[in-house]
Amino acid sequence: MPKYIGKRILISVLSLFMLVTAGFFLTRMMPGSPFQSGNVSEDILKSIEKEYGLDRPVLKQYQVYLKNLLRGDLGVSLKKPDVTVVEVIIRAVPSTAILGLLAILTASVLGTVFGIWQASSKNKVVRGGIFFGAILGTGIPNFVIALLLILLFGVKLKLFPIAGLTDSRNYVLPVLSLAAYPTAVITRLVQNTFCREMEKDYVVMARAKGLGYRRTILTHVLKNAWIPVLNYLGPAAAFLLTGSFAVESIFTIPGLGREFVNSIGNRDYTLILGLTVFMGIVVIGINLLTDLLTAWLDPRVRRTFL
Amino acid sequence: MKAMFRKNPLLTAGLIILILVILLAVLVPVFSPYSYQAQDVDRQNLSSSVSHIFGTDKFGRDIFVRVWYGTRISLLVGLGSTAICGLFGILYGSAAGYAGGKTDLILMRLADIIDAIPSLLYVILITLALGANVGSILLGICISGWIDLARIVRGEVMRLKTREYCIAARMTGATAGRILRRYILPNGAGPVIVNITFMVPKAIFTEAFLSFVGAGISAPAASLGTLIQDARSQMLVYPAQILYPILILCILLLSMNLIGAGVEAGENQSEARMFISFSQGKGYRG
Repeated sequence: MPKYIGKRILISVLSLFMLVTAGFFLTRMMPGSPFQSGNVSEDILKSIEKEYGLDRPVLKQYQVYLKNLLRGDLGVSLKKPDVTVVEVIIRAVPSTAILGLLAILTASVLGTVFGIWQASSKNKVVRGGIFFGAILGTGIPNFVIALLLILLFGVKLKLFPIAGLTDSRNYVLPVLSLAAYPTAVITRLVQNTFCREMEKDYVVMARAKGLGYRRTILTHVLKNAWIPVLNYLGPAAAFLLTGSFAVESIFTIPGLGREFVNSIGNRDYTLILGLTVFMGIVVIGINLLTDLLTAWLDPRVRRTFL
Repeated sequence: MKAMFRKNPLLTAGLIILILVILLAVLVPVFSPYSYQAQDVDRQNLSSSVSHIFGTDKFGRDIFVRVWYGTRISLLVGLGSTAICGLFGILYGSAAGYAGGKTDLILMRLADIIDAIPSLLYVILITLALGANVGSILLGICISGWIDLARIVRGEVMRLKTREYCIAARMTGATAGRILRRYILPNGAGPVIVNITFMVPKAIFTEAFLSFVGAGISAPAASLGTLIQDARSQMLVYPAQILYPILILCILLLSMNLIGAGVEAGENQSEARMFISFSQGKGYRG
């Protein structure tokens, strides 16, 4: 196990390093200077670039960026020089985190219920319905779901507010649009593993000794059916973070995703890079945690990992 | 062939819809009297009529032509990236799986390193740096799009390379390339094809998403994502303008997902019936 942990951590650190490096040089390659706006003279432009250290060789800038990153300093926003990137992140994280947690919670509960329901139902309509529901859920992009939900529940039926985050009813539509895809994926995962587990001897044994259907599922099968879902939490975190780009912009929620989309619009390179690095850290961290957790729960995983 | 389609309604339905969409995307811009970028001040925000089937947008451009023009871009990105990622993934996975040992270890760890980061972040950075065109979107998607496939191919190659027929082929002096091409890949094609089929809708989604957040194809060219984003500003007044591109995008993605599900179901024929997911409900409660 310690060897496994060491290897996983090394891979995570290398991933992060690659993201920072690629991100840094790509943002330096982006066209145009962020300070360019019709009426700025050459001299002023030069002096501003000097102040931000943009006149130094790129490799030197890269060294400085890495050093600052290790100290937890991601630089200042180019468009709003009085705020640092870290401040923007700290302000934006809570809304995104709450949305993401609610979405993954919704998806886990719904996905497990639908998955088991589909697997154990004798009703063809139920099975077909959930099957096509899962195809719809994986097929339709989250921003489309968000827009459709707004048109239907916000505008036509006026059931839920469509912007901001003032009270709890504001969360319903964004959480639903974020949860749709993970719900579909978890449904499929649970359904697949559930069917496989139900054929196994321990289930036959449990049933044979007289344990009820419900008790068998709750005490024995669910534990095993959940391992793939646990594995999926890493990719789900990645999906929720990138999904928040669209969903937060649509529902005007002041979170990471909206900041990111705005920084794309403003071509605010330090903010783009800073947010990218931060999201990379979060996703890599969650991936690492879930991988270690699965390896701890299921020794077979760490043995097959070379 | 006929029997295959009758037995696999998912695949058949998906293919029929997809072929219709492709035909419309190819033919409509060719035969329509309107161009995708010509603006007409007298004909702004029209609702649908015989001359403008989907109506016109706020600049008086015909939405019907723009939607199908956007579909072309989606199809180009989807099929293009799938071709590149598919080829690369198969080569990479075969190399890792067939070589085994240290080579395999290094190649697969490298894939792990790239895979740990959400690919959309790369794609966005690349389109911002290299300009918002189809080429840079393709490049961005292809950076990590091949990894899942490579893992699957590697697994299949590892599983099959010690089979007797492969050993026999090696003993007769067949080269590694020939063994992979003639003996291993055809036998491991099932899961590979399933994965490749699902690449297309994923890439189309990525492209639409990029355009939607403002890092994709730029005006006046329009992909489906751009059209949805453009129509959003007046969504509450003219909901139809946003619903048409949404509808086509969903139809396109769903047809691809149906094909994927159909291929997947066909691959799992060992279940003895079509619809794995249907038939797997075996009434365990019993």
